[in-house]
This record gives sequence, structure tokens and C-alpha cells, in this order.
Amino acid sequence: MGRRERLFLGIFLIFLAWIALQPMDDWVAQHRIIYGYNRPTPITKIVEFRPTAVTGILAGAMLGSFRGVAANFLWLKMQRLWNEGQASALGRTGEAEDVMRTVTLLDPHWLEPWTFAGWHYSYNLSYEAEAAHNYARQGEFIQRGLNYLVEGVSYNPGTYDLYFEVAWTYFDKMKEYDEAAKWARATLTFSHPEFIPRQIGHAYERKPDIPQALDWYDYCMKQNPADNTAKGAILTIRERYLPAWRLMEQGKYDEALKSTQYYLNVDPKGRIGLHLKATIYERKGDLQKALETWRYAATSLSINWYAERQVARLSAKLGVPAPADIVFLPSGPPSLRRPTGAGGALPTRPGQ
Amino acid sequence: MLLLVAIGLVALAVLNLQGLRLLFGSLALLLVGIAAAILLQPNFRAIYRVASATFFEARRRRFMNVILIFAVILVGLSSFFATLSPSAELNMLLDIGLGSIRLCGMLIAVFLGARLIADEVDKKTVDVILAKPVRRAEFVIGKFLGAWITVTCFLLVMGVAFFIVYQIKAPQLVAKMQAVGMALSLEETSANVLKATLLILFEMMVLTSIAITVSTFASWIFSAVFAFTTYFAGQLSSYFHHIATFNDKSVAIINPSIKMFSWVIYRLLPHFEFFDIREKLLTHDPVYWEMIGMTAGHGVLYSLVLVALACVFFSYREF
Repeated sequence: MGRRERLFLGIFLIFLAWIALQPMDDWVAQHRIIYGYNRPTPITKIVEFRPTAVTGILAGAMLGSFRGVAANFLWLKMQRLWNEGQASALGRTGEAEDVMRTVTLLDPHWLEPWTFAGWHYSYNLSYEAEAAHNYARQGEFIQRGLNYLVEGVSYNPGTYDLYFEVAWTYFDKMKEYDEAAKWARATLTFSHPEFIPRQIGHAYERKPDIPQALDWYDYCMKQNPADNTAKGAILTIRERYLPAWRLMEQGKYDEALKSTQYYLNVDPKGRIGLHLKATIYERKGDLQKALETWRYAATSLSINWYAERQVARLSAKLGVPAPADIVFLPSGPPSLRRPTGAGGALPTRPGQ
Repeated sequence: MLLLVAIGLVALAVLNLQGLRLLFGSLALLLVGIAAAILLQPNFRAIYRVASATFFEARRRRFMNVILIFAVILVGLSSFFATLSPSAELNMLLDIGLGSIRLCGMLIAVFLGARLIADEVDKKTVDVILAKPVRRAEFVIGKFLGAWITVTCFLLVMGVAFFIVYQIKAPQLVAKMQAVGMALSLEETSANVLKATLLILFEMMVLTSIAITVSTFASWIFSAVFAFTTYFAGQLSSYFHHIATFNDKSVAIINPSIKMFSWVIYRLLPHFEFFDIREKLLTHDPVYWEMIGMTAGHGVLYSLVLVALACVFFSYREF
């Protein structure tokens, strides 16, 4: 065999081996996806956020190892930017935000950035917006914080922390009580603090779903008979709201309303009382009165997104436009999509 | 005859008849290897001599020892760096430890692989070696084996250093995580660390073979730059696959020529991200030996294809 023939044969053999190698290549690629070996956040997802916010060390880190190290350094940078005021509810939400986002994508198994991002948006920034009476912006920030937390859960389904953060934000900021109870129940599969079942009870109490609330407080008492908070809640509910609830379930709506009103006369702005009253009206079929009661609950109390959402829902049901001074947050589980920029799609109060 | 059967099996693998691609492909590879061995009839003694000379020579290179010392210091400091991240100390320890091994292993593999043959050619010592009964292909194979054994030894030193740090620090960190209800065990995590280090070894084998292959026809600087670039591009191989198979009509359509180009790049590139099991390390899930075996096998075969190419290039190179 001549020199040239040998060359061609050699190259042909290599080409053949290369083709034969491809099935193995595909097998590994396929099984890495099936068994979750792939990086959860590919580089394409990371660089879609402002690359200028990312320091030089990042490129190498993203490609090879050191993702966690790079995330750590960026986290320090984010803290500095934050303290310098590089994030503000009413204007720039620039570099600090982008760096924060990059950290969560670089190392999605690091819980602290998710928790902090959720906290910064739902509490710090939303408070700034609230102080400036920009309620639409406030709502957007709360939603964005929740989006962060829920996305964090999707990367870390096996840890307690983020489930609790989501539950708490739904309960305390969004006032979406069904969702709050659902996420809090998810934390019960992990080692959890004693107050979690009580918090579920609180959520159902505020909704109100009196039987569910009582069930959860009973559960707390079974776990710890010395739980005075649960004991107090059970006594209050049994005395104030349970009779009205039972009457409502029996179809005795007027009597139920009378029973609720008895305590509302003492505390006209009582959240649970107002919510219960509106629920009774709704069960009765008097949607107009229910709307008025929800409306009163929404405007007379400090921010009550839950009541505002009920106003929006009932307005749509009745075919009347939602009042202009009501700012409501979209209900249901948050979208994982990044919310829109400044101003958002949410309505603002007149005069803002 | 062997070749004809191999071609037939490759054809069957491409057609993926009854989903037996992997079987046909593996058999074809085996036959191609046997055919190559029959054609080449290598002198294993010569290969061994070149490999051992390469290993002893490489050990004395100053830059290698500097990188090794740097790596051991970095690995030793991983315990300190872990404390910077109080909520994720174990993850940080793993990240810095294995990251340091990978980074320094990469530097050693690239610079050693790129310089071995280039230096011999530049200093004309290759003429002396090839004047002896050593064929060019045997010289290349010997150089590759010598380089890989050297890289393996350096990785072992780094791996042992990390494992000592890990064994000191990890038990308390694992216990801390177990205390907050996380399901993980020290044995499982330690086994994952060993598997990750093993995969780095095969990753460096591929990288060494790239550097050596390019150095058979180019300068060592070009080889080093090419190897680094390929390494980084190889980490992005899934991105090329994504473009090549992109079929979402709701989004802007990607030019077919770009898709074709991406497919070729994806098929040609070594998939370095295959050797990264960081995800399992951080989620503390078990890493199966089947996956380690297939990934390592993929690395070995890819390296062999590259070394075969290097033999062809070097055999036809004019000095």
C-alpha cells in the first residue's frame, strides 16, 4: 500500500470511528438530561441579563467550575451596590438587581440569594413604593419577590427554607390566604418550627374558612397542649365566628349576618368579621352587598390586597367596572416570567 | 473484511434500527480499533520507552511544579473560603476544591500537551529519536501516554490534598445540614467527590489529546490557545445543540445555515460539560457508576480518535 493510500485509509478509519462514537455521545447527553446531571441554568440564561453587570471573573467561572465562588463575589458586589442605593423603588433598579439575578442563576442551589431577593422586593422595595403611595409599583414588587422565591423552590425542592418564605410572603404581603396555606402545608414534610400549623390556621381564619382554621388549631393543640396562641384562637373563633358560619351553612343567612354584625359593632374594621360578612352575602346571592362589604374591607383597613382581589372578582362577575381607586394584584400562583419594567401593567391610583 | 463489517455497523448505528445505535456504534468502534491495530502493528516497547521518558522529563518542568504548589495551596484554602458563605459552606468547599483541581489540571494538561512535541521539534531532538526504531505514530502515542500519566499523577496529588481537607471539614458541615433536616450522608457525598475527581481525570485526557494533536502541525502557543478555546467552547456544547435542534415556530426563525453550522460544531466539539457532575454534588444525589463509566468511556474514545488523527498528521509532517 502506497503512502497516499495509507493516508486516505487512516483518515477514513478515523472518520468511521468518529461516526461510531456519536451514539455514545447521544446516550450520555440524553441520560444527563433524564437523570438531572446538566447545569440547571445554562450560560445562555445567565447572559441574557445585562452582561455589563457581570465582572470579568464571571466568564471563566460560568464555563468551568467556580460558579459558586463567582456567585459569592457577585453577592458581595450586590450588597455594596444595594447599600450605595443602586436599587430604588421609584427609579433605578439597575445594576444591583441584575447582579442579584445573575447570582441566583449562577448558583441556583445557594438559598440565601433567593431569600434575600424575595425579601428585598417584597419588603424593602415594596415599602419604598408604599411610602411614595405608588401602590401599583408596590404590588409589582411583591409579585416580583414571590416570583424569585417560587423560582428558587423549583431549583431547591428538597429544602424547607424557601417554601416557608413563599408561604410567609403570600400570607403577610400578598394576603393570598389559600396560597399561603398551601405553601405552608408543603413545609410540613420537612423538619419545621412549631408555629407552621398555627400559621396555616391563621391563613384559613383570615380567608375565612372557619372549619379549616379550627381543624388546624386543634392539630396544634394535639401537638402541644400548652400552645396558648392556638387555645386563644380556638376560643375566639368558637365565640365570634363559628355560630355565624354554622348558620350560613344551614342557609340561615340573615341570622348569620346578625351574628357577625354583633361583633362588627364592637370592632367595625375587624378583618375576619368583614371578610365573613362578605362571604355570607355572597353565599346568600346578594352579590351587590358582598361587593360593598369587600370594598369596605379593602378601603377601610390598611392595605388589604385580598379584599381588593375579591372586589375585582365580584365586579367582573356583576359586569361592572372595578373601582378606579382599587389596586389589586393578580391572583393565583405567580408566573415564573420576569415581571415587566417600571410602572408595570398594573393600574395606579388616580393622581399618581 | 473487518472494515466492511465496521462500515455496515456504522450505517446501522446511523439509521438507528430498532434503537440499537449504541450497540452498533460500540461494535463498529471495536472493529475499527482492531483493524487499526492490525494495520499499524505497533511496537509497544517503543511506545513504553517514549512514554516513560516523557513522564520523567515532564516531572522536571518548573512551571508544572509551580502550578502544582499553587493548586495544593488553593485546595488547602478551600476550607477557609467555605467560611465566607455561612449558609452554603459544604457547597463552597466542594466548589473551590474541585474547581481548583479542574483549573490547575487544565493548565497542566494544556501546557504540557502543547509543548511536548513542539519542544522536541524545535530542539531537533525528534530527529535523534526517530532515527531509532521508533515509528512516528509510536512516538505520538508514547508522548500522549506519558503526558496523561503525568497529568494523572499531578491530579492525584491535588485530589489527595483536597480529600484530606474534605475529610477534616466535611463531617461537621454534613452534620450541620442534617440537623436542619436535609437528607444527605457523608458516605454518599464522599463517594460523589471521588467520582467527580475521577471524571476530571478523563476530562484532562481529552484536553491533553487536543493539545498534542494540534501541536503535531502547529506551534505550541497556537496549540495552547486552541486547546483553551476548545475547552471553553466544549463547555457550551449543549448551546450549539440547542440552536441546531431549535424548532420553536413561535420565536424568530433561526437561519438553516446557522443551524447546520451549529450541528457540525456540536458533533465535532468534545463535550466537556459531560465531565461536570457539580449539580449532583450540590443536590447530594447519588451519581451512578453507569453514567461515570459511559462518560469516561466517551472521553477515552474521543481521545483515541484525536490521537489517531495526531499520528496521521505527524506521520506526514515535513521537518
